This record gives sequence, C-alpha cells and structure tokens, in this order.
Amino acid sequence: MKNYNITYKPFGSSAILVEWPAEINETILLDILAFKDQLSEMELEDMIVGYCSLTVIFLTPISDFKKRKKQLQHLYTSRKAVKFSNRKIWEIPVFYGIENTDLLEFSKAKGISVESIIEKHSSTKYLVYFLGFQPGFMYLGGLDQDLHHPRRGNPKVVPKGSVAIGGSQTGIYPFESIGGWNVIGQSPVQLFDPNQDVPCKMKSGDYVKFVPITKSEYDKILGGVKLKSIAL
Amino acid sequence: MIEVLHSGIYLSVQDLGRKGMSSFGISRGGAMDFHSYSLANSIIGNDQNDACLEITFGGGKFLFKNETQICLTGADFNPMINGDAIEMNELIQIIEGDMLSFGKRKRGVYTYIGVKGGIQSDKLLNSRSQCKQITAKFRLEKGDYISFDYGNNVSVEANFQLDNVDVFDGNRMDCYPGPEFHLLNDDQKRQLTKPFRLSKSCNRIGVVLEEEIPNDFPQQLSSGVIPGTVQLTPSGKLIVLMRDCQTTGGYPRILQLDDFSVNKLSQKFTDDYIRFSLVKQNI
Repeated sequence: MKNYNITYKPFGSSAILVEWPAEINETILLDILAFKDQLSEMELEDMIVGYCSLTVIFLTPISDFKKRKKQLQHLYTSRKAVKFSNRKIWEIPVFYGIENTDLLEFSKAKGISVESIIEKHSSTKYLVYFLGFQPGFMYLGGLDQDLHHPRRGNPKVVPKGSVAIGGSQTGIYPFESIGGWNVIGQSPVQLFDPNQDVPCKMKSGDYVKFVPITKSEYDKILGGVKLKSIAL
Repeated sequence: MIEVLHSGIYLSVQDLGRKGMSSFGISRGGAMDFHSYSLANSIIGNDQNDACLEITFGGGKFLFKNETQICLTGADFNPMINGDAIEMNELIQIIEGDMLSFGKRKRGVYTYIGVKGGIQSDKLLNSRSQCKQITAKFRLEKGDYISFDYGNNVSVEANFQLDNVDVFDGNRMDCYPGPEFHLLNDDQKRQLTKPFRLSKSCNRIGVVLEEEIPNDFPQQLSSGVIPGTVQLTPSGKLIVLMRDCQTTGGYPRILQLDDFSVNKLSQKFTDDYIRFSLVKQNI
C-alpha cells in the first residue's frame, strides 16, 4: 500500500487530528478507513472520519503527545487494505417530482430537461465519504458536473427525505432542516432509525445509487404495505 | 416517581451521552456541564453515568411520589422544598409528597437534579440523554412522570474521583490552539486576547460570540469537530461548539477549549464576558 504523507496534530487535550493531503478522492478515503480499522484495537472514545482526516478521540487526556503519535504512526504502517466484501452498494428509491420541489426551477436555470436531470442523477454511483451534519446524513461524492448548481440564496425548510443538490454535492435529508440546497425529489425510505443498534446501515466507503420510482410506488413504500378491504 | 408540574424552558434527562457514534453522524451529547452533573452523582453515591435531570435557566416544579434522596448542583436558582430554602451541593432527604421548586437566579444556567439510583428512563443507543433527532422526545414536559430506582443502589461513597474545581470561578476559558490556528495573523491573534461577549444564540449545540474577527479564510474540507471547538466563520463570528454539536464542520477551527472550560462556558449566559487563555501544549 502506498503510504501517504500524513500529519498528526494535537486537537485539544484528548484528541489527535490525523490529516491526509487535502483532496477529495476514493483512494484517500479508503486509506483513512484502513487506518481506522487498524485503530479499532485501541480503546478510544470515538473516531471521526472527514474527507481527508481522521479525528482520534482518546478516553483520557494525552499526557505524552510524542508517544501517542509514534503509536499511531506505527499502526498506520501496519494497516491492511479495506476488504471489498465489507463494502456495499445501496439502492435508494427516489420520486423525482416537480411538485413541492425545486426541480423545474433547477431545470430552467441549468437549461437541462427534467428527464435528463433525473437520468444523470440516477445513473451515477455515489461514494459515501462519511456521515455528519445530521444523524444519518451522508456526504456523497460523484455528482455529475452538469448537475453542479449553487445553493439557493434564500434558505427554506427542506422536508425529511428530500434529495437535493448544493454546489458540487448531493444528499438526502434524514430530518427536516433549513437549508439552501435545491430539492429535486423525495425518498420514502427511513435512512436513520435510532431504535436499531445500527441506526444507519450505510457507512463510509459504501456506494449509493438512486433509483427513480413513481408517485404511487413512493406512497406505497411510505405507507408500508396495507391490507386491502372492500366494503360489504 | 417524580411528576413534572412545570418544566421551565427546557428540561431534559442527561447522562454522559453516547460515545463512539460519530460514524452515524451522532454526536456524544450528554450533560452540558459534566462537572456539576458528576458532582450530583458523587454526592449521592451514584454511578458516574447515572442519569440526572437537567434544568435550563431555572423554573421547574416537581412533585415526588416516593421517598428518596436528591442533590442539586450547577446553576443556583434558590431551590426550595415545600417552599423552604434548601442547599445546593448537599444530600437532601425527600419524603413522599415533597415539592421541589425554584426561585430567583443566583448564578449559572444548567441545574442538575441527581436522584438516588439515577433516573430510570429508557436507554437508546446506550444512553438516556435526550437529544433532538435521536430520542422520540427531546425534552420533558408538564405532566410527564419520571421514574427512579430507589434502593437499588446502596453505596454511599462515590466510586469515581472528581477534581476539586469550581465551574463558576471566573471568566477564563483555557484553550489550546485549534488545528487551523496557524491561519491567524498576529493582529487576529491579538484580537483573540480581548474579552468576548456571549450573544443571544447560546444553546445545547453552540454558543455564538458577539465580537468579530474579520478574516478571509477559505472553507475547509469537512473534518471532525468536538465540544469546545471554536470555529471562525467567514462573517467573522466565533462559534464555540457545545455538547450537541455536529460531528463534522467546514469552518476553520482556531481554538479548542479544554473540557473543563466547556463546562464553565455552559454556565455562562447572554451578555456574560469570557476570555480565552492559551495553554501551552507539550508537543
């Protein structure tokens, strides 16, 4: 494995920030995840994955930074590549609609037809870099350049389940939020369920694919499967 | 059981929060002032992670349906049992029918009510801490009943050590240079030594400060943030992240408060002044 030139910085009394070159790409992400796997043998409070960083939070204050750094450096060199079998592609159904979304406005502003936007948005495999911002919110990479579009100037309420585009990013909102992203569709699936031991199935290093569905399919998934009854 | 007769502006159950959940985008959360929270448990003889009630800015009225022992720590809002003043930071015997209420503010923001054996609300992801987007209810309301577990925990001595420190001692916030401290020029560093005033925006997520530090720093690629991280926004505002903050952020992290100063800051209020004091780090 290629060893990156990574740096170690103290981050408060109990954490160390490990940084890779400031680029967004899959090779760096996989290197971060390989390091993270290697660190899982240590007793830690938490590890936070960023685009090109790993924040390692220890359970107690660091008394000897140099010693800790050496320990981390050693573990970095002994890391093993992330197994492909541990990574998944998730298909997420999306109802791309012009009602209650910014899709029409987005289409006009970009000069691309609604159909073509849906086609471009749903034909890409997006890499899950990490989760943050909201519980279950995935930072996705791989949005088609043709679909890059600035955030709206006037932030508004973005409903739960919204699939949206902001700048060069696309994402799904697990919770209602206020934001400037351009909403292009709605997903009926619950991405985040705190009642499960694993509250969100998608993880860093997985892929997400959006699958277009119709309004009736959307309603069906949202409502669950209901028993049919006919009046006597 | 405890019946909530009045909740005040924001009443919640808190413990030490959820560790190790950042991969789901879940922050640790937990008591805003870990020190006062732990003090309540230590005086009662509870475990360190036994849940307490956290009252935000006083108010709150509680009816005890069973005998127990409690301890109030943190913000002092002149607590009373059945109208008679009681002490903060002391073990208080409660009998069935006792009513706990509060008066005028003396100091602080977050008050903790520790109860013998701890609050027994449902655990979710290994914690009883209520939090927006995680627990079904993020706070308690009038009419809610809170159960506690009397008799289950008989130890009288705390099984953990607390430093003998005072969260209400002064305005100095000890901090370390943050990961992007190097972006600051000498003038900006000088501005950091001036007092900063808490704005109206202070909550469980973060504290926004009034004084600004003009800058033209670029946004960073989103990276980890933790309670006590001081972000400098493009508008020049400083945001100190608190317990319920996001797990990642893109603003330059110019300072990092030590954990005790996060507790101290949580007890400050709008218009209070704080001063950052850089601690030399042994690296």
